[in-house]
Order: sequence, then structure tokens, then C-alpha cells
Amino acid sequence: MEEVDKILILSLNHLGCEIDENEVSSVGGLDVNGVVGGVVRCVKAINPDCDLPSSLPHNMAQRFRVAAAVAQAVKDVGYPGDVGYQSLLYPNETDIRKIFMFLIEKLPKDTAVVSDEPLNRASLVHREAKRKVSEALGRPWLPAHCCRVVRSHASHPSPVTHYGTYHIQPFSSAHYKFPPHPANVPPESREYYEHHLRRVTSVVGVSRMIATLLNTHAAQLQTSAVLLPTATKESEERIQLETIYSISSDMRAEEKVESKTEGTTETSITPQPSHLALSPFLAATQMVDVKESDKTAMEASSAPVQSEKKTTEEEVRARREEQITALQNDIDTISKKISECTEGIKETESTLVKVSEQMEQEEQQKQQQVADLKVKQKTSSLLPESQANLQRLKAGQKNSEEKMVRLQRQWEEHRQPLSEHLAQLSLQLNNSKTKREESVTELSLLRDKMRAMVQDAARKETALAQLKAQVEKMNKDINRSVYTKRIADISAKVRKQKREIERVLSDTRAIQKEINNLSGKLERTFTVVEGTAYKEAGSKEKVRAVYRAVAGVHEGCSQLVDIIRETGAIQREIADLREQVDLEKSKKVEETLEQLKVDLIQVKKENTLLKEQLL
Amino acid sequence: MELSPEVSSALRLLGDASKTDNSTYQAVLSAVSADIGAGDGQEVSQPQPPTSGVVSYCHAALTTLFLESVRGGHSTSVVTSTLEDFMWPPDRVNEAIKKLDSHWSVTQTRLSSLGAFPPHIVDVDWQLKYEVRSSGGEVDKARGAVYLVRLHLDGSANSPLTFTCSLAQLTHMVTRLKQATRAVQKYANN
Repeated sequence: MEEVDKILILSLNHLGCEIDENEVSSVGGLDVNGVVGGVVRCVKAINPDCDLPSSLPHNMAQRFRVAAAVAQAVKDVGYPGDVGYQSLLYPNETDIRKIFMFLIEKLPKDTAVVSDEPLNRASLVHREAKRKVSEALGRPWLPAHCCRVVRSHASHPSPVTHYGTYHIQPFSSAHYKFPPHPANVPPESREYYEHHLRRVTSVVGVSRMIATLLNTHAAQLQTSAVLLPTATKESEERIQLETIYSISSDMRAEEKVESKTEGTTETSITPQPSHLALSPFLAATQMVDVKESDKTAMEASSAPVQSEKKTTEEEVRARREEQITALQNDIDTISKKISECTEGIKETESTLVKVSEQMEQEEQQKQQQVADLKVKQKTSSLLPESQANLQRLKAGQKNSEEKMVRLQRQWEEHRQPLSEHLAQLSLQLNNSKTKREESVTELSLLRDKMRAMVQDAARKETALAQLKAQVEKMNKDINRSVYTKRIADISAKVRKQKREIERVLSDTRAIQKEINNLSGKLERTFTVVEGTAYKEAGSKEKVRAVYRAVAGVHEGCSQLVDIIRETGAIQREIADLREQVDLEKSKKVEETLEQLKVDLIQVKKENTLLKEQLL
Repeated sequence: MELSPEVSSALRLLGDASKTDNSTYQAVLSAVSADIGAGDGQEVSQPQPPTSGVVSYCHAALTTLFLESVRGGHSTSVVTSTLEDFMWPPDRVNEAIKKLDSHWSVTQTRLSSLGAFPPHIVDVDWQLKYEVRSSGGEVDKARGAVYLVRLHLDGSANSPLTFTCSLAQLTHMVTRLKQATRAVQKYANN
């Protein structure tokens, strides 16, 4: 029975019950919750639609109801034996084993479904993760102080978590900017660049070098990805803006003059108001200069403020705000001007288009009139000698008509063979075209087929690899040959027992026959003896006594035989009853009764409690 | 292999024999191999002599190239073709590839040891404290066994993890841990 129970517990654990195989060795060792949980899980696996709680509630009455529902579900599945709430709540080993055996027999057989779909990324990742996890589980445990040694003597780089994490460094990167290309170094820092620039390792340290470089590179890639597509757009915008700058910079120039008077050592060029005439680009560069000078002016102006304490910071700020508002106003007016100007340009452009259209029309009219004029001049020149000219014209007309007819005939002669040839050629062309199309479609079909086949092959290869891996794994955890051997042993035993039983049966039958034989012989012998004795009894007194004695012996013997038979039957009955008693004893009726009593008391208690609550 | 414009221009400069002479190239190469080959614990003790700007510039680019090629698992043929795209002469390419090959595994190890991983638990100490009676008079609350558990983590930088719990909490934790190991095993075996 141990074998059976092991298999049952194993299958229950497969279904999701958490039974400790080391603690519970047989089905009888399961408690009520374990039994009900197992039965419910089995029923759910057989019939996924059924809705049963997998654990018993605390309330006693509800417990009975749930147990009855579970028992009904087991009956619905087709369990032939007797099952009720009592067999679940007060389990006895044999019944429970029978129920579990039946249910596990009924479980749907899981068939390995080979998916036809190509493996997607997620499943690949899962498989890789599973492989890694099983690899990690299979690795022997190493004491912590050995990890360092293993790692320093490893022949190949091992993934991090293999042997501890003590050597792990956080990904900490420092801010680092690539030094400029030697061609772009400004002259004032050339000396530094040539002789004193340190390399990245000494700037951020050896331990952070890798992280820093990786981070910097990633940042560079990102900026280049963001900047490149917009670079052209930006330059366009700049061109548009430069015109505005060129206008506004003269106002800034005035400010600059102001700032200069504040007593700074500003050395940048002073833009003249006349640079409206400068090219936009120059103006823009000046604009930048102006900006910088503004900044330096501010800084410079703040220095004397602090040292001399003539003006406070608030005043400077107020002045700055004033400047800003003034500049804002300037910008507004200028942009308004620009919009006006652009509108004017648009209007003039539209009028220009209209005017040029008119001009074209007039040109056409003029050409027509010139042609008319020419015809009229010719006819007027012909007018003086009208008769002769008329004749000449008619003759010319006739000539040209004849010529026309001749030419037409010639044309026809030439045209006919050529057109036939053309028709033939076009026919051929069409033919070849259709052929080509057919071959092209065939080719594309073949190509599609080829591609599909290649894909199929790849998919099947991956499936093959997967299945192979599965097979390898399966051989590990289920030892099939041991099971088959055991089954063969068991069936051999059963056969042997069957033979034994048959032998015993035939023995019994032989003995029965012998008994029948003997009793028949006895009967016959007795009748013969009785007959002879009866004949002789009439004449002799002694023989009569013998006859009586024989009859008495016979009667006694038959009574004895009857009694023996009866005792046999009674003995059999006793054995039967004993068996029944054992069976009943194994059902632990008394314990169950005790339990039932306790449960009953609890139910009563609960009932009274409920009543009290109601009242 | 994708490289940023900065790195590309620096590599182009380094490969151009007319602009970068051989001694500079050698200096860059030796600096790269020294920095990549340096072990974790060997923090630079003496200040490195200041180098010229070109060397620093090209050093950063070449180191980035090496790191990216190891990180992406690119074979040396990919790196070779990348360098040839930057118009490198064949002898410089060969030298650089040789250096990359010799430092490949070290670089891989150093790259794989970067990152955030929870430290491993390597040992555990525990102590059972049984309080019979507390001075505060809260007899019901304070009584009972208290476990002091100290989990040792690997790496000298990590201080041990210490906590106290009751018996119920401890058993709860143990069952949860058991469930977790079972789940991991189930995942690995299916």
C-alpha cells in the first residue's frame, strides 16, 4: 500500500496540494483539511467548471454543508462506491484511498502539446531564465570565504551571481566630457591642452572609468540622435531670426554704450548704428558679442557695487527690469513692423503676378494680329493681275492634288507590310509579356514557398531542441523503467496467486467429489445391509437385534455428519462475522462517534449562540 | 556597432597616420591597455603623468570602443571592419585587435561586476531570549520567546542584517522561504 500512497500523494502535490512527503507517508495520515483539499483539487482538475471552496470553513454547520457538496461532486464524477459528508469529515483510510484512486484515475491525461506557433520572445526569455535558474540550483554550495579564491582562479569570466556578490560595484559614473578635437581648441587653452590635460582614468578614477565611459557614450549617442534630424531646421530658423537681430542690435548697442559709461574695462567692439546695412550674418555675430558684453557688463557692474556700495542690488535689478521691458517693447514694435512689411511684400507679389498675366495675354493678341496682317498683305499683292494669278493658282492646286493622290498611294503601299509587321511584333510582344508575367508569378510563388519552408524548418528545429531538452529533463525525474519493473512484478505476483487459488478450488472440488462418492457408497452399503438384515430378521431373533443396531448406527452416523456440516457452516459464519467485526473496527466507529458527538455539541452551541444573537 | 560622432572623429584622428604619429598611437594603446587591465582593487596611487591632449582624447575614444565591443559581444571581425571604416592602416588595426583580444575576458569580468545586486546571505547567528516577566507589568504582552536573528552578508562593506521576531513570525518566515524555494524549483523544472 505504501507504493500506492506515495503515488497518490505525488499526484496530489502535482495538482497543487502542499503535502510534505516526508511527514505524511500514507493517505491515512492526512487530516480533514488535507483530504477535502485534495478531493476538491482533483474534482476541479477533472471538471474545471465546478465551484467548490478548497478549504473547509470554520463554522461547523457550514462545514457539513461543504462536505456534502464535495461528496455530491465526487458522486457526479461517477464514483461507484458510497460517499457522503461523513466519509470526508471522518475519514477512514481505506475509503479515502479508494476515493483518491478513483479520482486520480479519472484525471485528464496531460498530453504534450507541441505548439505549431513560432516561439515568441517571451517564451524564449522564459526558457533562458529557466535554464539559468536550474543551472544555478545545480551548482554546488561554496563557503563564502572560498568564493574569492574560486573567482580569482576562474579560467573564464563567470557571471556575477555565481560566486557571491562581494566584488560587485554599483554603476556609479562621474560627469565627464570628451576633450575637444585638437583642431577646435581655442588658442588660449592650447598650452593646457598640449601639456596638462589628464586622461579619463585619472579624472574619475579607475573604479569609475568603465561606468563613466559607457554613460558618456550613451549620452553622446542620444544627443546625436536628437540633434541630427533637427539640425537643418535649426539653421533655417536662424536665418529668419538673424534679420530680427540685425535690427534689434542697434538698440542693444545703445545699451552697451550706457554700460560702458558705468566704468568697466569693456574691450569688445562698439557697433555703429549704421550696421543695419551689414549682412545679416555679421550682424548676428555682433549680436552674440553684444550679448556677452552685456553679461560681462552686468558682472563688472556688480563688482563696483559691492565694493563701493553706491547702488544697491535692488536698484540694479530694477534697472535691469526696466531694460527688459524696454527691450520687450522694442521687440514688439519691430515684429509688428516685420509683419506689416511681409504683408506689403505679399500684396505687391500678387499684383506682379496679375500684371505679368495681362502682359502675356496682350503678347498673344499681338502675334495673332501680325499673322492676320501678313495674309492680308499677300492677298492685296495678288489683286492687280487677278485672272492670270487665278489660273496659276488653279493649276497649282491641281498639281498638288495629283501629287497628293500619288503620295497617298505610295504611302499605302509602304504602310501595309509595315503595319502587318507591327501587328505581328506586337502579338509576339504580348505573348512574351504574358509568359514573363507567368514566370514572375511562379517565381514569387516559389520564393514564398521557400521562405515559408525555411521558417518552418527553423521553427521545427527550435521545437526539436525544446523537445529534446524536455526529454532529457523527464528522464531525470520520472524513473520509468523502475515503475514498469514494479508493475511487471506485481502482475506476476497476481498471476501466481491466481494459480494458487485455482489449485485450492480444484482441491476443494475433488474433496467434495470424494465426499459425495463416499456418502453414496455408504448409502448403498447400508441399503444392502438393511435389505439382507431385514430378510434374515423374520427368521432369527438375534438378527433382528442386529438389524435394529445397524439402523441405529446409521441414524447416529447421519446425525453426526449433519452436525459436522452444521459446525463447518457455523465456523464459516463465525469467520465472516469476525471479518466484519474487524472491518467495523477499522472504520474507527467509536472514534468517529466521539468526533460526531463533539461536532454535534458544537453545532448545538452554535445554534444556541445564533438564537441568542437573534433574541 | 553604433558609435557617437565624438568617438568616431577621435578614432578617425587616431587612425590617420599623417596627423597622429606612431609614438602617439603607441602611447594611446599602452594607456588603454593599462587602464582596462587594472584590477578592481588597484586604485591609482601615484598621480599619472599628465599626457598630451591628443592622447587623452584618443584614449577615451578607444577605451569606449573596446568597452562597447565587449559589452555588445561583437566579434573581432566587426571591430576590424569598424576600424577599417575609419581608414585605419592595417598594422594599427592588427595591433589594436591584438590588445582587445588579450583584454577581452578581463573586460568582460569587469563589465559583469557592474550593477546593483542584493548581497548574498552567507551565514546566520541566532539567539533565543525568553522573557518570563517584564518590569512594566504588561504580563500578557511581553511574555514569550523572542528570537534575535543576525544574517551575515558577503562583502566586508555590508553590515549584518539584524532583526527580532516571535516564534510565530519566525515560523511564518520559514514557511514563506520554503514556499519560495519550492516555487523557484518548480519554475526551473518545468
